[in-house]
Amino acid sequence: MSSKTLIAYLLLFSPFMVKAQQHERSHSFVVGGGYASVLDTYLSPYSHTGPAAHLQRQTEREVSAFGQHNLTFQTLFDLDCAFTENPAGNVNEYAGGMRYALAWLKPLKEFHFTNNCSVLAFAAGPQLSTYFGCVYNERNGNNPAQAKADLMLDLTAQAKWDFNLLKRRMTLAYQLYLPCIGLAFSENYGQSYYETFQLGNYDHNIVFAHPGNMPSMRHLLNLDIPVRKSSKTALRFSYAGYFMQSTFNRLRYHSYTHSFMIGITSRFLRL
Amino acid sequence: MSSVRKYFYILSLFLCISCVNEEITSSDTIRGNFEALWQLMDQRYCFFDYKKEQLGVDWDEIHERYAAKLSPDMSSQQLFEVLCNMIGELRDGHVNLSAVYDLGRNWSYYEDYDRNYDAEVVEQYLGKGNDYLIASSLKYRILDDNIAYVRCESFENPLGDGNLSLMFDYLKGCNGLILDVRNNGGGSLDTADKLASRFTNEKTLVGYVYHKTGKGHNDFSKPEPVYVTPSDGVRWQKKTVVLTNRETFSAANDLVKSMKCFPNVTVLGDTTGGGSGMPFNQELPNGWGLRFSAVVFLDANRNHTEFGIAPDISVSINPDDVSKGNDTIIEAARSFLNNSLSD
Repeated sequence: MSSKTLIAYLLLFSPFMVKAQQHERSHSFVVGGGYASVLDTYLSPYSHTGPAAHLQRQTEREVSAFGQHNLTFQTLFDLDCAFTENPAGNVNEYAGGMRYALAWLKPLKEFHFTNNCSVLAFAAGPQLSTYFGCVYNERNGNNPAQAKADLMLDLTAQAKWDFNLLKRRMTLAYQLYLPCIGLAFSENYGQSYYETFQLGNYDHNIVFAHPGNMPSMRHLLNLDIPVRKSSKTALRFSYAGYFMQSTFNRLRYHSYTHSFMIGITSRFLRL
Repeated sequence: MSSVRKYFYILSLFLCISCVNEEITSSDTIRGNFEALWQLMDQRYCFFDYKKEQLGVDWDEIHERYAAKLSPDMSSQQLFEVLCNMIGELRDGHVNLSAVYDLGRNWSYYEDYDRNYDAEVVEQYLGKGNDYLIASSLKYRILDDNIAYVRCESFENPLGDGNLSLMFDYLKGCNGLILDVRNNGGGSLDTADKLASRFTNEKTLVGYVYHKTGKGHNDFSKPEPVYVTPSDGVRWQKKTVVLTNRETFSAANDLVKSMKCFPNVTVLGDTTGGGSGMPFNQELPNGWGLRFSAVVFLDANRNHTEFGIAPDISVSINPDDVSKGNDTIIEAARSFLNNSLSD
């Protein structure tokens, strides 16, 4: 094949070659608030309740990894805080932290409904997530706070429905995150931070976490509504229901939060 | 098995997850608050066996005895009194119940004894105006016989390395040092440790520490050694006398426990007030705050110091001396140091 012929072929087929390498990416940013119930028996035997704020940034793109094609790679950054008070209403407790997660979703099943051009797709896969945060009780002296930290391998599953409504292509996506195994930090039952950090005494403070001692789940529901017909930018309405629990070192902990958020999501093709 | 079905089964397994909720009653009633207090102490207080041995405290018997004092129509103040009397049986200065109108306590650790301290007389030793210097919570001056006098009222405020180095540098020409921790009710253990680190040239074992690991009265961690490491700053090398009384409590008691391990240190005065359990906080359904001993500190011989540390030299204040403006305990310390010098 002469060089001229090769160039002609490349020019002729280059649009298809490029298209084959195109990846759809999306970036979304939402912020909002809701309600939280926080129990940490290191600090108090009772759940503290109150308003919560939540910020979330999520990215999504198609990748090839682990010998699999068409995987969806997600990154998720969560920042949340809660301003709660005890049942008697005379002591405040503040909880907050940030989670960063990387997920790889494998397509499982896709249903095409020709009558209304909608597509229902299911995907699932592993997620690596890490969390840093703390719960602070304003009344306590030597046990004023409990640090929260974990590094977990989660299982995540997603159901995504693309449908047409009001001349727009909308997306409703539900995703479930289930922490499976990993490592978490916890003080021991009656251990003081003076012993842990001043004296350097370790007492099962790094805990092997599993569904038996960390039975938790996080739910995320997103509705994307394009701002204009065929626009790649959409308004995102989100609900995040996080149900985090643990029973490390005989200390009982839960953080139940319900957050409603609003923001934007942008989709674009990347070569 | 298809992938969808496999994931469905895994998800179903997780949906069987049970809730992690409160395990102590949250009922804000007379009985509910009583039971919550009793259970919190039962599960978390660290001295039950020691108090049973020393005072004959039987926590189950106390439950029965005080439950009989409850009545459904009692007022909040009456309930508070019953609960305070109940926890008062433990004779622990670190056990308190706090409501907006009162702090329930048992301060018999010093109220039942001679005070051995007169603030006005101590002020005469410090002098007036700029006679004495202040470094954070330390007041100090050089007495007429070239003995350094350091008054340490509390460990509530942090002590900086600069505070301590400059103070010891100022006092370096003195023949001996009196560290007065009478009426020091404690504060931060870090601060007490920092002060102790100026009196040793070697890493010294000063005690052991352990904590509750579960609800049982004997669920404890392994005792871990506690050391005082010499400070990198200016360290005191000469004789030291530590003055104590029954109000030397908590972190100050811990300081005395450490100082007793150093060769150049003599403890003089009355037995300390004790308070060797680090207190934690919890709360009752009605919002009253509960403080209780949760972490145990032992001395270097693995003995409890909850009821105080006996001095090396026992001295009490003579009221006749006080009337003449003299503090018997300070004068005894000066004599001891001056005699040591002549020896």
